[in-house]
Amino acid sequence: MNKFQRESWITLLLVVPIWAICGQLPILLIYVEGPKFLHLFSFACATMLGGLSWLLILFFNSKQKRKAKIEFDERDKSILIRSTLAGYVVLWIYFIAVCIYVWLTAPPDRSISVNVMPIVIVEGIAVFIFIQSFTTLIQYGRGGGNSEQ
Amino acid sequence: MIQTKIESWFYFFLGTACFLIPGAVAIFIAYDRGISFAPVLMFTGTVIWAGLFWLLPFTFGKLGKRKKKVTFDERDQLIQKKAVMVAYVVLWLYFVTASVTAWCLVGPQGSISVNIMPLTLLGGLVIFTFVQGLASTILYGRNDKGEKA
Repeated sequence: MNKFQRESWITLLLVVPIWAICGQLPILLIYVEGPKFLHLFSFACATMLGGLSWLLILFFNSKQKRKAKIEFDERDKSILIRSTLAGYVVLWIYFIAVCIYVWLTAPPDRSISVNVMPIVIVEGIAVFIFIQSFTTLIQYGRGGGNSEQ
Repeated sequence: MIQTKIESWFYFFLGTACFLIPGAVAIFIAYDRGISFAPVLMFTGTVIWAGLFWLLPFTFGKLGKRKKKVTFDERDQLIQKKAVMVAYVVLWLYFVTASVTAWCLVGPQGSISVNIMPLTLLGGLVIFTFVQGLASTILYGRNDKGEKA
């Protein structure tokens, strides 16, 4: 099992459930205490970091590769890009499904709480990270015969 | 100008309108006459088709390769993947901004019309299509030194 497979397992088993629960914290704080700058800022930072964490992985691994510190070859890069795209495809379908569900089940006055939107986004990140890690594991598993121990 | 480059120009100018009009019409019908099967199907079809349209060249490119008619080579694939990823980054930032803006405008105790969610999704689609077309056009423009007319 190489470094990226280990990271994917940790993400799948720990990060996704923790994010799905703790990601709601800024939303709860804003609901209770009102839209303060700090809460809004923490929500924006957390969601941006969660949704675009793959960019950081790509950037830092490519940088360390240039310094010859780690093994991050073309195959790892290709796997990361493919799994990210798979994650985005499922995320898009998730957004459509939520939209249709809300549309169909809205109350008679046809309005929903404004907090539904951020909750959908936070749970969308959990879906995205789950699919990204899952497809990474599948891809390494399929072609991982020569992976490092 | 190669075929894929023409497609990216087409996508840049006409893609947005092609996907925006049927989606907006579906939301308007649902708003005006209430939820029924037809507008929901129209909206779902439009957003799935438009949001995952970028997957088509990969599928047909592979089919064309098998028939030895290569119109979508490795370079096109790389450009397409890069453009899609850039578009997804912008789309993600748009979703985070939309939910924070709704929070600030309405307040955490407030409610929004149920039509805001599909409209946000449609807006995301427009941004995604626009950015993808723009990124492909820029990437082809930057890399078209050795292409055949």
